[in-house]
Amino acid sequence: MLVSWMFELSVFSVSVLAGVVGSLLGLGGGIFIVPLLTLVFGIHIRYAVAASIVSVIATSAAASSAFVRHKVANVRLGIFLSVPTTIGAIIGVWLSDYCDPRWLFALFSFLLGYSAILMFQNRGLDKVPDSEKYQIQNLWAGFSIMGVAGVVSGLLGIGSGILKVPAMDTVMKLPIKVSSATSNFMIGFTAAAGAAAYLMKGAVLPVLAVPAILGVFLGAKIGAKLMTRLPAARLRGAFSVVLIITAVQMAIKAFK
Amino acid sequence: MMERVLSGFLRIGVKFCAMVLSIGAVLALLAGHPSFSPALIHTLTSGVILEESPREPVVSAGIALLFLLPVGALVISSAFFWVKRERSNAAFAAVVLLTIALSFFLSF
Repeated sequence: MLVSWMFELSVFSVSVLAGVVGSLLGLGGGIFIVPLLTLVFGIHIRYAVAASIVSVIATSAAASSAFVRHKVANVRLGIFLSVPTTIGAIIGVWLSDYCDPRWLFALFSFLLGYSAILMFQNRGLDKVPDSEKYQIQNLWAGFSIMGVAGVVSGLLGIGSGILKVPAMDTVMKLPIKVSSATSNFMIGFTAAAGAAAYLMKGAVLPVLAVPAILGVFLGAKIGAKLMTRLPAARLRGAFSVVLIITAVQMAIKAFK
Repeated sequence: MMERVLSGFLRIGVKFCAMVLSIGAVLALLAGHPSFSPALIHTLTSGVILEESPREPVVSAGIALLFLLPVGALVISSAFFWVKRERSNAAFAAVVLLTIALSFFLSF
């Protein structure tokens, strides 16, 4: 009983931290949940991925309610691009069965490294003003990239915002705020498809998923409030170092 | 109008879901339910996927509610698109909805 309480509280605390950092960096909590659960608690990556992807649904729904209300998220585009991401997520879950856990660690390590580089490059992005009018370009190129983002989401239990936002921002030429808000709106659908498959496989265990959901949700709320007081642009530069260290840790786990 | 309904649904849904999950988790821990047992925690490091994972009813209801958030958002969007005669957008929402539904029935 005591072990259970302590474990629940520890996972909850770690998830709050993941939610705060994820929200401050605009990455969501998923990308931090899996490394924390696997590296700190020694949880098997399959369970960590399943718990993470379920928590991603909650954070996406919470964040996108504000984006949708203020019409920052493009609902029509988000739903259209959710077609390849949801199909990709199911393929990702299917692939995870055939993927050696070490490959999952390696892929995660690569993605964390890529996120760190992207974050370091975009550390001054908050100052860039967004134009109100925009025209969607390269729709089918973006559609294809979303399929890949969906596979990654299903495989690693993350929202894949790190792939979706650059696809919309750089390839489809959408303003960064619209890209980020639309990605947040889409992530819930992608995660729901992946999480449903993990749930039916019996990989979503309440003992892990519930504190992760509640923790990330609370952390994301705290992070959103802190964002107005902290210099988020500077934090991105600092946290890119944290991401690099985590990427190295995941790589060590992959090749050990 | 669609945006306001969607946003309201998501905002209320998330709060209700978090409340049900919190109550469920506390009740399960107090009752020493198998889905929150220390023995189960030890299996988490093994990576063996359980055929039948133990379920606690209130927690299961909370997780089911969580899945209803994106599903509900898609149903609302689809209905609004249909009324606005945006048939292609309504069809895309229906495809996403079907894909999510399909993932519940696929067994890998």
